[in-house]
Order: sequence, then structure tokens, then C-alpha cells
Amino acid sequence: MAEETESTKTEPLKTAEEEFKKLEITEEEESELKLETSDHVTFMVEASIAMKFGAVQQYLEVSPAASASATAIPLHNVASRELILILEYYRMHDWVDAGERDLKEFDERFLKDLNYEELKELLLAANYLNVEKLFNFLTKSIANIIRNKDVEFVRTFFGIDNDYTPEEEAAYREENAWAGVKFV
Amino acid sequence: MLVCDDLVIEILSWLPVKSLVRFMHASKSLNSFISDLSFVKLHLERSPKNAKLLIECFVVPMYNFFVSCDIPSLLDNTIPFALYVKHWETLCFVTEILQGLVCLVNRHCRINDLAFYSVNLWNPATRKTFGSNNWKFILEIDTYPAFGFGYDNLSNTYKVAAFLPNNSYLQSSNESYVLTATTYESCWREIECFPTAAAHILNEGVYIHNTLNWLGSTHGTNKPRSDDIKFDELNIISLDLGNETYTQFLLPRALYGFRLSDFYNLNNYICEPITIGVVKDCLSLFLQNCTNNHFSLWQMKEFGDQKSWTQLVNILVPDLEFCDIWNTVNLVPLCTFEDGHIFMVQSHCQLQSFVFFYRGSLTTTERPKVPCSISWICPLDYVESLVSFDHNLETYFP
Repeated sequence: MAEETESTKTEPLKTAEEEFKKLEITEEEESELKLETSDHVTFMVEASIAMKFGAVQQYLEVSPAASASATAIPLHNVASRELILILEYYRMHDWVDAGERDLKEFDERFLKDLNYEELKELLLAANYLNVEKLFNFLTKSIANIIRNKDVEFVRTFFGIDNDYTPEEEAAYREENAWAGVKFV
Repeated sequence: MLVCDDLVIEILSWLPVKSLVRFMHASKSLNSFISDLSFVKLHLERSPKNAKLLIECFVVPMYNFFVSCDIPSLLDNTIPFALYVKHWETLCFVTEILQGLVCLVNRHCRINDLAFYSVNLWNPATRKTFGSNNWKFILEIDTYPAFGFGYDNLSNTYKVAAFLPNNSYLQSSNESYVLTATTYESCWREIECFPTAAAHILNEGVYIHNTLNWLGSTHGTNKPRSDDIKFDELNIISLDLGNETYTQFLLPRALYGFRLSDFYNLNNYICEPITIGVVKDCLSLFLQNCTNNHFSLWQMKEFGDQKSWTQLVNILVPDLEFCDIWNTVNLVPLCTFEDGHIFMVQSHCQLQSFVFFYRGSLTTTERPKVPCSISWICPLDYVESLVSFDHNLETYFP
């Protein structure tokens, strides 16, 4: 899984100087980091991608030796299944040739392949890893899923217990009938 | 599987107000999360900007209602009919829309020589109106106050300002009042007098950088007619909402020497030749010259620095291919897109509006696809929000 594309992940370049710097960095960072998931699977991940994970950065700040050595950086709350998805997402979004339309298509396909449980697991993993782009993408996507749903769906989806009395709920429903799902 | 509270909040913050109102009764804890001030702020930050307009529609005199619509439906002429219906049988005007709140001022004349004013803050998205008996006041019938509505970042409160202009016949002072709209008990306080000896105010207060700004002439009473005013006699009078003091700014020097009457078409007094507003976070002047058919846009690049006035647009109207309606319309900028501006042209004659674009270089425009069928008077840029007040303030208008 880790070796699906050549690593051509430079960002759009602005000046020649920047380009030069970027090349230097990519060459230098052809190096990879070893990540170990909660189910004890190790991954060799391009440093340019792994360094986007807040959790990895934090780990390296504490123990900088890990970047050079062969020690695996442990990701306690991420299972291999999620890490594969997260890497897939970041490889695509870092791919310099990916156009806006490609990304949109990719995002749609990415979501379609996930059921609600997987989506939530992935969100938890993204939250733990502290990866902003994917995290925002997931929260927005989940918001899109629930926006036109009714209260019951939202309770089940988030595992929320209803602590309103039937009377209270009826009163609220009546007062805010305009916001009811049937009017959406 | 349970998703923890922080993540639920993150997800909910992307939702439209209508969904949130529905989900609030999923549980008591979710209700208090959504009502929490920090969530309201996060949600407001993420609410789409420059996406919606709130249009005040006008059916028959003294009977108006509001429609919220997004820009695409405006262009396709598929405006939803009366989404946010709220109507009054008395004269009511909007001073400003801020953080999803509309400040409505209602003027009601019940006794011959007295006018009753009431101020209400209305959130169309949650359909709640807030007000208090203490927010009302009474004036002589021929006094027309200028209003302004803003958010004071220092005290984190909404403030409404009312300035009572000098009546040209009755000698009165330039009293100025501020209402801090927080509780039922809060009421109008007198603040420093409006700085000009006799002011002639041309607009409702424009909110930017924690200030409210009015365009006014400093020599109002000396002049029998407002169109006789010179541009060098016009000032921007700015009220700092934090310390509640006034400052004044001069207009661009290039305008000195002209009179308002130079901008009027003598057969037609419909257009306001000069208005102020906010474009791209800068205080801006819109000048519509009906004698030489020019439209220009000036911006004060650094707020408070009179030397930073910059002319952004200066176009000859025939270029815009709408000189036929030029004399009967007002150009009012509404939204600023990433790639340029959109201007709304308002016609006061037929109560019809046309949509015009200025994109990128601001030199081209498109003919409106369809003149919209709704009659409107006051389209304003609008962001949906959950902003709310104490339950004691919830009220039914008026």
C-alpha cells in the first residue's frame, strides 16, 4: 500500500528560488519515517507526508533521534486500516498534478467507500493524528450527511441519549415546527 | 460507537441554522452545547460569507416582508418566495445587518405630534426577535433621527446609536444616544453630542472597525437645499463604539470644489449622488454622477487615515450599457467575491432591481440575465447565525 505512487509531491511553485529550495528538500527528504499503528503494523511513510501529522511532529520534538533511527513512531489510536486511508488521502492531495476536478472526484469516491462506522473511526484517527485538512474534510462531510436528517438519526449517529420528557420534546417540536425535516 | 463531544461540536459547526434548531432537542446537553456562546461564535465564523442576501420586499405601502436568498438563485431569478416572512403594518426600516442580526427600527405615530420609536433585533435564521420596553422612545414628529447598529468589540455587546439632528426651524442640540442592547433593563444613554453644529445626515450608520460612520454636512442649516452642499463641507462622522466618542474624516481632496448639485440630473432627484458603504473591509464612497454619467468608487485604504483615499473605479456609464436606466437607479454594492464585486442597481421608480457585476478589473459588466420580479427596497449582505439573547428579551413585534 505504501508504495503506490512515485513521490512527486512538490507543491505549486511560485519562484525559481523556491523551486530550487523545494527540490533540495524533496531530495533530502526522500527519507522515510517508520510509523507503527495500534495493531502493530509498521509503515514506511515519506517524511514529507508523515510530517503533516501533528502527532508525528510532536513525537519528533520530544525524541528527535527517531527521525534518523530505525525506531518506529507509535500511533496508539490509529489502526492500520485507518492509516492506509489517511495515507491514500494525503498522497492524492499532495500530488502536484492533481487538478481540482480530480480531487473532487477522488473525495467523492473516498467517501462513498466508507460506511458511517468507518467514517467515525477515521474521524477519531484524524483527530488523534492532528491532521487538519482531512479532519475538516471529514467533519464537513459528516455535516453534509446529517444536515437534512431528523433528530432520531442524529441521536443514533452520535450515540446521544434523549433526556427530554415526551412533553418537553412535544413542546419544542411545536415551537420550532418550521425547522422540521419535512420542510427541508 | 460514540463520537466524543468535541468532535460532535466540530461537525455541528458546519451545519445551517435550520438543522441546528432541529437537532437542539436531541438531548439537553446538545442543546446547551449549541446555545453556548463559544459555539455560536465558531458557527458564525464558519457560516458562508457573501453567499446570501436579505431582501426587504415591499408589497403595498406600510406592508413589507423579508426574503433571504442566495446569489445563484438571484441570478437565475428563482428567488424563493418569502422565506423569512415578517411583516409590520407600520413604517419600519433596517439599519444594518450584523452577525446575522437585523436591527429594525419601527416608527409609529399614534398621537398627532409625537412619533414612537421601538428598536428590535431580529435573527431571521432562528426566527427570534428581541426587544424591550426600555428600548423604546418618543420624539417630536418632525425630528428624524439617524440610526446606526454595531458590535462593540471592547465590551462584546451590540450597540444601537441614535443621533437627533438639529431641526432647521426649532433650535435643538445635536443630542446623541446609545443603547447597549444586552438586558431588558438596558436603556438609552446620552453620550457626547454629535460633533457638527448643524448636521445634515445622508445615510444610516455604516459599521466598520468598531465604529459607526455617517456621511454628513457640517453646514446643514445654512443651506436651504441639500443639493447645494459642497463636497468639502461633507464629512464622515465616525462614532467609536468602544469609548463612544466621535471623530471626523474629510472626503478625498479630488472632490473639493464640486457641489452635490453638480451630480444631479436636474430633471431627476431620485439618485443619491453619494453614498458610503463597506467594500473589501474598507470604508468606501460611491459617487454617481448623473450629469456626465460617471460612476466612481473611492476607498479609504487605512481606516482613519484621510490621506489613504484611493480611487478604485471610475467608469463612464455608457460602457456599462445601461445608460437608459442610469438616471433612475442607484448603484449599491452588495457583495464582494474573491474575484471582484457585485453591484446591485436599485430603481426607485418602478421598484425593480437589476443585477450588475464588476469582476476582476472592475471594468466590465454583464447585462442582468433577468430583471428580478420581486420588488425590493433594501437588499443587504447577510450571514446566517445563531446569535441570541436572554429569554426575557424575546418578544413579538412591535
